[in-house]
Amino acid sequence: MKLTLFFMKIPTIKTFFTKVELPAKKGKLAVSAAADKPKKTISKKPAVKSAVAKTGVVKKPITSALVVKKVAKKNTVKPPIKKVLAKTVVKKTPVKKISTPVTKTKLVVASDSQSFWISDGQILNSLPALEAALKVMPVAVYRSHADSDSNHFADWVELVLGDKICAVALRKAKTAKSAAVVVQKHLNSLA
Amino acid sequence: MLSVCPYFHVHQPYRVKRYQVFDIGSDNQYFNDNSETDLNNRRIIEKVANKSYRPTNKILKELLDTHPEFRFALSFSGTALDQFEAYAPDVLESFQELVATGRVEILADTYHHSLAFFYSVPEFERQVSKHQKRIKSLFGVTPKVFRNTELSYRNDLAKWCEDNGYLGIMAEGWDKYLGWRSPNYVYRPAGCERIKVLLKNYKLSDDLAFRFSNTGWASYPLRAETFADWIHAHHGNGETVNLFMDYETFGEHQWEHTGIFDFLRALPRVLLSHPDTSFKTPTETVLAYEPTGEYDVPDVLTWADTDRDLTAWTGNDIQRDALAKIYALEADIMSIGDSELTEVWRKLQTSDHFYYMCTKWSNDGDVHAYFSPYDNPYDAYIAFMNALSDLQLRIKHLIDKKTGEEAAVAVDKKTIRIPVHKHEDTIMIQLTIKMRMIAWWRQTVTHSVFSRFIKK
Repeated sequence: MKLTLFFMKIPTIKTFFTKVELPAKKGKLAVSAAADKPKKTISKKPAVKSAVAKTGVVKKPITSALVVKKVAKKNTVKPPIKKVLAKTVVKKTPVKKISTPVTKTKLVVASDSQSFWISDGQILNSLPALEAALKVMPVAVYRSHADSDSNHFADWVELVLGDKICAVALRKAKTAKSAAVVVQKHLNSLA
Repeated sequence: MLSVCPYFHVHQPYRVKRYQVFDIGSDNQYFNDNSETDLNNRRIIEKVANKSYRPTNKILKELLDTHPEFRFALSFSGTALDQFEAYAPDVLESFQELVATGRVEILADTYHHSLAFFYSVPEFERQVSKHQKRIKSLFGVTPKVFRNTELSYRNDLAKWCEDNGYLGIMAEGWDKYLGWRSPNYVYRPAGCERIKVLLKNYKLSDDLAFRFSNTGWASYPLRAETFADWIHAHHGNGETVNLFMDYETFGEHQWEHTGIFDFLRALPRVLLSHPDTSFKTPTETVLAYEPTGEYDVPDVLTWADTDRDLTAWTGNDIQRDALAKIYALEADIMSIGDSELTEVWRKLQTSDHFYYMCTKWSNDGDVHAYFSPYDNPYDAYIAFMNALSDLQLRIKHLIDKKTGEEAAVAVDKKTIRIPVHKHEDTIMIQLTIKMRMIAWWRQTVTHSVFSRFIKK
């Protein structure tokens, strides 16, 4: 009898676990939704209040509140795990030390119609010429060709000179001097 | 081989006199100022003719006679041509002499120097058509290259020009749209297949138009030889140097004592001293060179101010209000079909009226103040809006008259006679009072709002 009672209790244990886990799964869904749209989680409280006021049913608001609490608990647990993962990634990369093959690009001299026409009248046809011009370029002239929307220097280097690596670095430069340093370093790497 | 394409724009607006609120309903002459101020259109034409048009045309004719290779382009607003005809017919004849040489090209334009393309394409088309007829009748030529008011340009305008058979269009060679490219080449407008765009070399053009007499400028005084060297420096990295500027640069913006006439006299000789330098008209330039790339201008580009956009005319609320009100009259004006009213309406569309209302400061503000005949933008707005109120009154009167006549005809058909026009005068008086009240209210309210702003 005891044995049969023991086996009969197994499903009840299973149902017990499922009852515990189910809200947890719902909670996970709520986490992802809340992460995407943070404003909606803020607006949940008045929504719960209004639901209580309208229907008078207390159960639903309580369960949703529980879900939120569980979510909060899980959030507090997760970050340390991520940190560990991040550390392992950092550790792995130096071990591998994959040497990226540097493709040495030849210096291109632009044709007349493809030369860079600076707004102050200078005309450039190569990276060394660009470097020399950037070193002494006034702020206003640089700004007329490079702002938050576009960077003519990078466009020209990429489209005409065909140097994508230098173009990417030039887009990050915020001043004429830093752009000149970028070009100088790039030229040194090619030498 | 490098060619130089000089182009000079000739324009004079009909300036609105100091039209008072009390003139509404009683005075329908908005452009007949007789004072000794710069609002007197006759006086301005005579002054500029003496300072600029007559001496410059004389020099240009000499240059055409001396140098068979010398050629250039002109564009005229219809309002300038009308005023030459009325106040200085000899100036118009001297222009006709230049064009008769066959080496001076005339460009297509809007008749009333308006921004109509950006507000009403049908009205824009009517003005371009009128301009074309006027040019044909005065000079016997049909323009093949288009330039829009204030060199304003956009992709859809280029497309319109292509669809209407033009070979080329002119635009500002602005860094924002050129990027790293040179303005010294011919380009293809975005979305077009045949038409080519000629870009103004704004640096070299502005050296003459704005900096020539600036004593603080590093290159002052500019000699023709120096300027020619700057142009010759483009051999090998350009095909055409397009020098676009106001015709009035010679003698009016840059006075005679600055040496601008001597500069003009010497320039063709020193430019042609280089064996590979030549002069070309816009049509010759368009036909000579193939486009090197695409010129994509999705937003309005002009040659004015440091912004190179429409803000010189549409930058503040009073400008936008005035523009909205003038173009709102289109349907009524067209339905009436009165040629005199239509002409007045179009004269009020001239972009200069809105330019005078500009409240930009700094360097741009100085340029606006130089060109404005009014003491401040507020005065320009009040004069314009009072004149516009009177025009609205006249339009309403004519519409009422027309609908009244139609009603009378309809009633006549039913053999019942009703004296429709009996109360016309009282309606007119009521309208006049109403319009005056509106104008007075506008004047007092806008003055209180803008007076602080303007005094700064």
